[in-house]
Amino acid sequence: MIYLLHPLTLVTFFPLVGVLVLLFLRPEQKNAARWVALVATLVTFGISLAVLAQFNPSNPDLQLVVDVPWIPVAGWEIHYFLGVDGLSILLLLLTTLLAPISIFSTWTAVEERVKDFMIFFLLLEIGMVGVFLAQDLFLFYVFWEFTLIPMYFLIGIWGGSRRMYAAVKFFLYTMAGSILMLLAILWLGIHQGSFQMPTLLALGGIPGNLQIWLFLAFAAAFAIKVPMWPLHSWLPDAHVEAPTAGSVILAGVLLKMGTYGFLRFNLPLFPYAAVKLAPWMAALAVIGILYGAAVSYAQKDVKKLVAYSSVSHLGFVMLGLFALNSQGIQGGILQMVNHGLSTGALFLIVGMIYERRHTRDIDAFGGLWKIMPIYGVLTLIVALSSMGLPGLNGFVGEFTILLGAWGAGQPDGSYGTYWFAALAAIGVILAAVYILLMFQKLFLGPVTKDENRSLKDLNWREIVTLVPLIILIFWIGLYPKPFFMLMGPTVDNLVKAIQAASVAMIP
Amino acid sequence: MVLAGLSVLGGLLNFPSLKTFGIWLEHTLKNNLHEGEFVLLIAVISTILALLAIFLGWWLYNPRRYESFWAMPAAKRQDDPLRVYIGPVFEVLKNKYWVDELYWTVILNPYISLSRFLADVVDWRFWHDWFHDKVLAGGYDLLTRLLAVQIDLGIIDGIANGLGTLAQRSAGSLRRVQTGYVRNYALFIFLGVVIILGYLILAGNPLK
Repeated sequence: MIYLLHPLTLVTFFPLVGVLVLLFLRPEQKNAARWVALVATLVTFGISLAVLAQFNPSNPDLQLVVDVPWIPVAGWEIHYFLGVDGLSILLLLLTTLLAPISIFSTWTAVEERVKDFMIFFLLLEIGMVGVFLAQDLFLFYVFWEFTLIPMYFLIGIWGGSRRMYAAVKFFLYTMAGSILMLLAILWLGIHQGSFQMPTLLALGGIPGNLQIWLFLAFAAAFAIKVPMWPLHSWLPDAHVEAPTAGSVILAGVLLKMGTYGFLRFNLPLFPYAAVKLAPWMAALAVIGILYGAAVSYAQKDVKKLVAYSSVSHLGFVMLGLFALNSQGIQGGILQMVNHGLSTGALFLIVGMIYERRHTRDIDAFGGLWKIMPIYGVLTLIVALSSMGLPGLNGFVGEFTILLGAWGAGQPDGSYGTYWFAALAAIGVILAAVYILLMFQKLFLGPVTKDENRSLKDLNWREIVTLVPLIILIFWIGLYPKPFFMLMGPTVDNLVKAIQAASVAMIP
Repeated sequence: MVLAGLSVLGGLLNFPSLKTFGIWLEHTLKNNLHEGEFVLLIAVISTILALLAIFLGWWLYNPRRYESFWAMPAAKRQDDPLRVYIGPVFEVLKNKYWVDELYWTVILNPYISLSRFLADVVDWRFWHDWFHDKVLAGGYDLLTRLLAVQIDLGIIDGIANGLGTLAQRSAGSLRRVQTGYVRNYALFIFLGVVIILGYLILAGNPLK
């Protein structure tokens, strides 16, 4: 039973302790519920730091592995199999960091059914952490689908005016893709005789044309989650209708589950297909970058603007991953973290002004800089980080991705054309256009609406919510080396494995 | 004033013998670029030109004219003295070569129209409302209604109900056979026997 106290089991299931405590509270004990959830997520974050302390960055393989047979099925076994490596350690930390921050942001925003909200939120954290740690395909699928349930309720109960529509659409849309992935998982289990990632990778040898089909089945689930253009239609609804904490988690973590899925499963399991389809994935990624940026620019609702900007930013991540070289993949992973920090912070910021004015109409504001100076400064930092200003985190990620995409543009690279990198670079400019427009319309110029004159600046709780994100925004922007070090060896190994497998493979 | 100070500093950066600027970004370029040489003629000509420009500027807009210009009411202020000398060129300069207008027509306005078109028409009305809500959700709705109302209620229930109705109707008509009179039953038994025997005789006895 030692695996019950294994650090990865603890970090995954500790929020369950919070859920158990919450069950004993009465519904009207709102503050107690908040504190229980906050403490539970903070302890989970602490455990994830302990995991980081035990993590050896120079080891490219899975670490802190816990692997026990779980469901014995004739012939092949399903394992309870958790492990962490350079691909997932940063996403684990991002998830456990964003959870307490989101809880903290609900302190006054969520007043209805606080206890239920916190229970769903803690359950959601279990699912998210499990997704990033699971190394058995079946276990992964269980966690993957499990995240849908609490999110469905978070949007459906605490969401905006069209919450039921958004919640059902979110659920059905993401579920539809997952079913195809389940079929591919079953194929692997039946034909390869195992669900465990290391065993599957050691076996290899899936014929080329089958790889393409399996790749596409997995991609159906992940591409919807990312979301890749043109599968993004669920996103503006879910993001806009979700409560602030839900939007933060949606953008910060759930979208990363899609890009992480490509990285963890599609690239190493189907290397031939990955190389073969890389230009197609890059084309969709670049369309997403430009399309997302252009559509963001025309939005009248601030939250919708931020939602569409995710389509653009996640396009960068996909472009980096399918460069299939070290810079591209490392940049992609770092940009996942960056997007979680910047867009998470942007959703918090939108939530703060919504709580005061109960509107998100971009034209309802103007001149806020004079009324809410602290809010203005923090927003400016986050906005500049989101558009990739040098010295802040977004620049490091996007720059590394563009380097990778450019490298992949060489004749022997996975793209074989420089066009993807060149067009994506235009996306950086278009990001600046919509971000600066948003900032200008909200903060600059004279105060045109009288309702805005009496707005209060941020209180200490709101500042505390944003400050950890802003520290990380500067840290990654100025000294990203520790972050690259954590993922470097694993990524290098992955790149080598893809090259070796795709060269050896004849369709 | 600040800008002036900074531009002096910027000039000093590349002063002959310092040459800081020439090598600052050198390492970013692979080929070794040789730095520009200090040519006396170019330096003298550019210095003379700069001094000439300063003198011209002072001559046209000297402090005396400047004060008298602002002392007048707005309507009576005299025209810019430069216009007299260069005429139409002045218009071009005054409008900054129409760079702003060019920028708006060539880049900004098309981009704004494009992004509105993509956001409102393509992404929202076509992709979100029409394709997802109408075609996918509405189509599925239609299909389920077709299955539920036409197929399930119409055909499948129709068959089941039809069987029930058939049973009822046939029962209704067969009921009349059961009259309760023994002579009727005897008649039918007799008729049956006649038919069976007739069949056996006419078809040749199969029991043999």
